[in-house]
Amino acid sequence: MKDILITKKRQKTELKVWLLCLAAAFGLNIYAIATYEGQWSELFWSLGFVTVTSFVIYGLIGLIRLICYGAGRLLSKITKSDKKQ
Amino acid sequence: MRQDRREFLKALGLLGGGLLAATSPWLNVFAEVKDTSAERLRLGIIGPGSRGRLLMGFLAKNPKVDIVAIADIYQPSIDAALEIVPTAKVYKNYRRLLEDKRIQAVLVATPLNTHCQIVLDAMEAGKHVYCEKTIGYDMAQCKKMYDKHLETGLVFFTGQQRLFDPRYVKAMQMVHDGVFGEVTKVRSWWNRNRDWRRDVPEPRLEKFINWRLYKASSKGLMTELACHQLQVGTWALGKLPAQVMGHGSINYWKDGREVYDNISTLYIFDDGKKMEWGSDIANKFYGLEEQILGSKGTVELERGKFFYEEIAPQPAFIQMINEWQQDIFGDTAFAGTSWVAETANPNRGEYILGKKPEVDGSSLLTEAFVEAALTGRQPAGIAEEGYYASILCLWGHEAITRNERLDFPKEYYIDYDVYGTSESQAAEI
Repeated sequence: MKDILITKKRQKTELKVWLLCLAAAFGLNIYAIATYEGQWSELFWSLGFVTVTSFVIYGLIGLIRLICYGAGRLLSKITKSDKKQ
Repeated sequence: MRQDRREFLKALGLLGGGLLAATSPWLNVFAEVKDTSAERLRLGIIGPGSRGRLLMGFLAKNPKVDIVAIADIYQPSIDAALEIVPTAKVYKNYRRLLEDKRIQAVLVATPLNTHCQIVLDAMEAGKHVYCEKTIGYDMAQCKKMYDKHLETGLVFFTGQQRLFDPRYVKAMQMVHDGVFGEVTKVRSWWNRNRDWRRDVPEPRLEKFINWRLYKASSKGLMTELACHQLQVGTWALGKLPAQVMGHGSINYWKDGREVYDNISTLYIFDDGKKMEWGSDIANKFYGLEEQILGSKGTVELERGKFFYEEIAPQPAFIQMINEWQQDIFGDTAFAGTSWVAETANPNRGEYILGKKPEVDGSSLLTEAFVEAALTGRQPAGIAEEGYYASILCLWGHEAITRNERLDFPKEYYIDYDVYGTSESQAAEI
């Protein structure tokens, strides 16, 4: 079996993406509190839900990134084979 | 299950305190003004049938009690009682037991129609008395027994164990503190699905053993079951009803019994508030319950739970997610409609004592009686609560048999501040 190597750069990138997701989920919580007239203490008490949501968003973004990456690879393969012909 | 007074006070969060005086004044019996730890109460049991033996079980474990004698005319009951207290002297006639000078107090757990004479004789003989509910066969008997207690100054307890049940005491404190808002209704019922009969070894013993089913010895469901639950209602509302109406019939158990197998009663207070009580012994789905309905919450005492009307909303974040989920997956109405009936609240409530109830107060009631008999101090309100509980049952029964809406019979008022009644008030009316 082949070892999978995650570079430092990749780790940093992924951490940044997840932190962005966390910030987005936190922002959604602020929006929800304002919209549903919740209490501002929920910024703290709902942190668990916010964290879980950040992972869900991260997963969704990951899926989109994977699709984009796959599509890019496919496109470059097609372009290369066209050039050869 | 037995619970001692320390656990009881602990369950109420009152160890070392006396904050319940207003709601449950009889609890002052546990205020240790006199050390009774070295004393023993010499007790006689009159009527060690099933209920009598249950109470004997608690008393036999109490280190301050010596059950020195029992009186009964039914040998199987005597034999079963002797298994609990083998050294007890047996009397076939309760009067002989009362002549025993060693005996300081008696517990009366005989059929309803015999209570009054036994209690009067016992007090005449100078014994403190614990009498099972309902105390009298009719209201006049109840008054006679209560008056005898006042006349002799002897301790008089009735079998209202809910008065010492921690969940009831705590719930009443909350009710009286206004935690559940204004109480507008008390609803209670006691349902079973069995014939309420006991096995009879010989036909000639039918009316003797199944005394609950015959008019000469009992008033059926009203005197055997209602007594506990009606007292809960007046305890919660802090007053007596002004009127009562009701209906009873034999719908299912048409087996020669003379008392009703189902009853519905409605007690109406002077301000229009109501207390409903019913019993049906042909369906047990809803079991037994006492519900106190307040503007801010509901208490279900048998379950030991309370429910606030308004449940704290879910966090805003969850509300938002739920709404998105409904928008995506479900076709739900955006706003509630005015014509949709308000169905039962799915709110799961909270336990009154923070956990599922474990005891029913019977052991503490007997312990309180022992304490009162040893000190000779009658706890405030306990005889009065028992008296009025019995009156409510018998008055309700009268309304059913007369098929009328009856006013409270004011000649049966007694001096009792909790319900704002007094004999002088009655005289004015």
